[in-house]
Amino acid sequence: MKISKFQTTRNVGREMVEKAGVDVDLLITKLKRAAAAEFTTYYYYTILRMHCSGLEGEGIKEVVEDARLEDRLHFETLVPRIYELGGELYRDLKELHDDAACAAAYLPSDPSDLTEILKVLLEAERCAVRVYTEICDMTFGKDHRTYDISLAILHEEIEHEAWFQEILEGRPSGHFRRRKPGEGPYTQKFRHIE
Amino acid sequence: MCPWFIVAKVSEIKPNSMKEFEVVGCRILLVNALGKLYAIEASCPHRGYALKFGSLSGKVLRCGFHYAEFDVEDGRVLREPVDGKGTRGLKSYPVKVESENILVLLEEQK
Repeated sequence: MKISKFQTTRNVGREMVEKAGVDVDLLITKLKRAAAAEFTTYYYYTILRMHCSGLEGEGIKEVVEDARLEDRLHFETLVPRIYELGGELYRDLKELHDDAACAAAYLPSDPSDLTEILKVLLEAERCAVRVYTEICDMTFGKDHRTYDISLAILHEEIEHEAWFQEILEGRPSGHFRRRKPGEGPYTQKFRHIE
Repeated sequence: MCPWFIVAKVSEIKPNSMKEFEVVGCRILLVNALGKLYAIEASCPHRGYALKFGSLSGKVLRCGFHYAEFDVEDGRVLREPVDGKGTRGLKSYPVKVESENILVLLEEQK
């Protein structure tokens, strides 16, 4: 059988998920919005990180960097799954920004206020935890691959939330440092090329 | 035929909490706000995210994604989502308690 350049054969990976009862188009929408949130968060965290300066801020900067780089890796981890399921990324970056699952993590009106910066960071991580919990709920026992990816990201997002909460609220800290910035220990197995 | 559906037991919805249920294909969020029960649609009308992940403060329900706020009593929008796109209010459904059961009228909206 000859297959033309743009013709595709069956997508059994998608069929299995559909047969399990998942609305795959809705799932793709949620994955795209999650990926958009990771991409925009990476951008906004770059700005927030710049403003973590001074005696207190420099200590926070490294933590923001760990979260920032891992959020970009989450974007990279999600994108192949979107295409596997038959979806595609936004062709317009503005559309990506406006469709993100979470609100933009804007720099606070007083950029020298580290507490306000930490609140923005914490809220962004909390939104991400909600995003992946919802995707895990939707795919559990039905779409094993998306579930596995989302669960791995969820692990890292929950750790990010804990880091910022520990700094902001001074609660007992279980913050285990990454071996290197952007390590992404739970999502690492989905990235074959570093 | 009476379109009231048993959704949950009263004991399942603790004060100042909320829980999502599916009834005949409809996803309903039951809310116990200040000791009174309310039934509203389970997804935020802004972007369709689950409201069960939001937070409840008195009768104000805040979506956990773009932070729209709604009055659970009548579903009206108290605060627009932060992305500036605006949203409609929540659908809300009549609720009654019989014995230990919470019943929701799905056919008509308040």
